[in-house]
Amino acid sequence: MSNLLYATFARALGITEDRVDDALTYNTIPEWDSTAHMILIAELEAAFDVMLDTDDIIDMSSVAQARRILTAHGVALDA
Amino acid sequence: MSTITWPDYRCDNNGKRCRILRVQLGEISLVRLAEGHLETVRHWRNDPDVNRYLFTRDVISSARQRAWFEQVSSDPDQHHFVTCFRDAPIGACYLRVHPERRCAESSYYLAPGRYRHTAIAFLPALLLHDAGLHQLGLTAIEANVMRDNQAAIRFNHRLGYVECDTRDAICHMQLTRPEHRKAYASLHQLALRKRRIPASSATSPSNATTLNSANNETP
Repeated sequence: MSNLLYATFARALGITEDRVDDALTYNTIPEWDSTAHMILIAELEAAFDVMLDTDDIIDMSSVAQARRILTAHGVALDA
Repeated sequence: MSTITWPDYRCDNNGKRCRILRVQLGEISLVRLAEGHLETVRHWRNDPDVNRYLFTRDVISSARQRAWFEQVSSDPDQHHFVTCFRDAPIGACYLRVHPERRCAESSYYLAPGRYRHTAIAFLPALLLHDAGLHQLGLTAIEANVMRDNQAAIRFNHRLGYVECDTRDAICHMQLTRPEHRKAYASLHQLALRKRRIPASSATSPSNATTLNSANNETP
């Protein structure tokens, strides 16, 4: 499922998957702007079949954070 | 097809002119700029991370900020707001109306902090556009963005703006009612999502009701 997480980030941010790892945060790449974040939320919800709440959306500031949030929603992700 | 929830407005009418005091949708609100906001807004405005995208980049003094506030407060065509999330100020925005053309210039920014670079940034813009196009009855909203600010141009496209002049270093963009309506329909639900329920109270139905009722709060 980590591959799916990375692939989802890559698709939403319009970057190659080799640039995605858990250390990727919103302020480390120019591609991560408000519009990309909007797309990212929609892509994560579709890929993992979850409905994020407002606080999840605000907190979704890194791949590692996305992993924590999705896990809290019951998604099983590999470490 | 999902229902559209339009913002709640609180206005007063000075003669024939509508003065918008507050616009609210869910946990996002635009509150008319007041004297008590001036220092907060001045600090945001002078922050290099905000300032670098503005057309006027002077560092603003308290005296100049106050003089500017007195000027815009007495101008019925200027509508300046502080953006609030859960009633805490997080940014600023305005509409400057051109009554002869029935359009307005728009501008918005979020203060440096946790809400920038998130989807939440769309919400104050949606509310500002709705205020102009529906509450004030304008036919179009215009935005001028520096061409090198591609993130802002992309952001405006998502809100329904189209580029109408590409000749110089400034990108002139325009938003009309039909395009706003489409953008509003697709984005506004973001403001109506549930607030996270603390784990310790997740089983309490009464608490869940309280947390989810923010949209019905009296402005």
